[in-house]
Amino acid sequence: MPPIDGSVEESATDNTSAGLPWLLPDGTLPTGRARALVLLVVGKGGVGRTSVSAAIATAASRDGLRCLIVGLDGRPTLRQLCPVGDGPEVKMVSAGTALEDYLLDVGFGGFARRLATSGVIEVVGAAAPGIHDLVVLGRVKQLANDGAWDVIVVDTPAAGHAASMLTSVDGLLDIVDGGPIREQALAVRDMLSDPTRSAVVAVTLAETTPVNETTELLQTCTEVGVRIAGIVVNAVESAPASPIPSGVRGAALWRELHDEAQSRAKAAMAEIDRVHAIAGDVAVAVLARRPVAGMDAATVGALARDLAGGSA
Amino acid sequence: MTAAPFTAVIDTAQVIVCCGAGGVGKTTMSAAVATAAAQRGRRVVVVTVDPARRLADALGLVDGLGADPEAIDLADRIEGDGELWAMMLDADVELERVIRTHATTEEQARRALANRFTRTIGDSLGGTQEYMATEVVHRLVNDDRFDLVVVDTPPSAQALDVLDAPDVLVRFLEHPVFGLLMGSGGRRMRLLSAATQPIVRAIGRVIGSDVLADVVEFLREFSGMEASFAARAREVRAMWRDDSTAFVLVTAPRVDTVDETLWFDERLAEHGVSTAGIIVNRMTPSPPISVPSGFDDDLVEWSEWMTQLATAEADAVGPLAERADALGAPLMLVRRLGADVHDATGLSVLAGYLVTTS
Repeated sequence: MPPIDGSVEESATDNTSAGLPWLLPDGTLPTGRARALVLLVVGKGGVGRTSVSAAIATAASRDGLRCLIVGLDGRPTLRQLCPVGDGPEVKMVSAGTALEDYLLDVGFGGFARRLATSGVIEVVGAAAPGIHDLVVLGRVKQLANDGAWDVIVVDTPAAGHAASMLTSVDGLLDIVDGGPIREQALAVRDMLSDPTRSAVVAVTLAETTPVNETTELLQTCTEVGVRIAGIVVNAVESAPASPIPSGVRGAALWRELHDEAQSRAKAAMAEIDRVHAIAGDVAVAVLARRPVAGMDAATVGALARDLAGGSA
Repeated sequence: MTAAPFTAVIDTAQVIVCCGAGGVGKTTMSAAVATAAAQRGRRVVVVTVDPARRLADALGLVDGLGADPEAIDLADRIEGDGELWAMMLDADVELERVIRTHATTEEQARRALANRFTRTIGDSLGGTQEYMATEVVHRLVNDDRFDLVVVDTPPSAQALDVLDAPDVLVRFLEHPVFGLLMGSGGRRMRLLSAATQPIVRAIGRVIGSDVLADVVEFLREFSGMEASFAARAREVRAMWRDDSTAFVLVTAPRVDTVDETLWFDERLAEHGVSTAGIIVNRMTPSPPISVPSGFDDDLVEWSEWMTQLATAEADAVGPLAERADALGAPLMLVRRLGADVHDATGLSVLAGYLVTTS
């Protein structure tokens, strides 16, 4: 099957980099920044969000950027998807420990540990909705301000959760009247609303439900005031142009498979059109489906090249 | 071990819980399982806890689904007395029902519903959505209109909460910290007792005193309902573990998804529940082995691509076949279709795969 070129539009610069500029606010590589650019990669389960996160981080590393990729769901797969050696650094941030870490940081000292063991952390988490999301974003903000990285790619949890993660900050500001959580929420909001410091990359499949969910997610981003850096349409299948010649052996079965491929490809093209319609000025990249049942660093490396807009 | 056919499950179960990772087509498959059962003469209600419109889309309902069962027209695809109903979980509606059920007085229900924390609890307390799902299933099981309830659960990690859910609110209401907040008497706030003061002050410093006041108020509104909640939790726990409840795992032919499915199967076993069937959705069909000589280059490339994909998928599914065999549970391989399912015809096609393969 002819591969679909990673057609990237609106990549506004003539920068010869491997793939990242289309996701950047002004199209230039953020080398030597005091604060890292945070890219939050969002998408519903099964769209390949983790693979795309790894591909973006791999592309950033190839561009010579100091890149960190952060996993939030505690799965070890992220490490296997990134090249070893000069690839991005991988770090896991867990909601459970982030709150405790944060309380330690803001001077609760040993008391934070006592709070944790007594179950108070659990109660605090339940009392203030979104507090776990906030401390996770707070931890990402802290890493971004560290100065050690140019770009931080965050593989966020599934779409519904990503939306609540983004709205958690405003939600908390509504209900929490003071204290360190409010300060943290204000600092995270500053980061999220600054297009030079953070942006969202939405990952979807060329299917109706994921595209619908992406539409809702993008609305949430706009409401919250987070910049949308780009939309990646992942695992798109194309169909061969040539018809099945008549008279070949097994023609009926071949034709059935061919018809299905055609109808899927046609539906995918219609969904990609919808993505363009909702994208407006936001860049869209289309990645071809690979004939594999699992991802590895080599396949992710190929995705990273596709993201660059050039051919592999 | 010879696997029982899947028809044995859909003909006899009272509850079928469809579990699986996100993005495997679980909602559509739940509707297909329900359709298959209805076609075999059962009166089925399928309930989704997914706030997205997937179930409505799969059933071809343009207006979406409500919080009460709605009859689905399967036209002439039904045998005998079979019926198909569908509904969507609305956590807010359900929470109100639950509170009205357990409250001792109308005034208590009114106050509990007016509390700000009650309204945010759905977002804040892990498992609340799942708790509401168990309440719905419990109600539907006891509804004479239906003899089978098919449940479409949230993605696997949270689906385990469905099993734990009945205990969550009870555990929450009985949390030792709340005991401290409420004072040992439970009814009266004794926030200023010497023992609790540092902890209360610490919570107040972290989340602000307004939130804390809301939580305390919430507990006051709910005090007295604990016993009723605990009794319901016991009933529901028994329902999930009853032999008439079947857990069906829905998965996709991908290595990571298969791993997650096997992990989930282990967790189910730990909860004293055994998997009654495994459905692998969207298997790529293998093309014929030999590529005809008359094929153009793009056709050759395409057929090789598909063979490679089908082979990789078959390998990925291997461990599931072994597990199904060990369980004596049917493994259904459902072929990927040319288009998304969005009407009764598509569901009938899927239902056909479920009752013929094993």
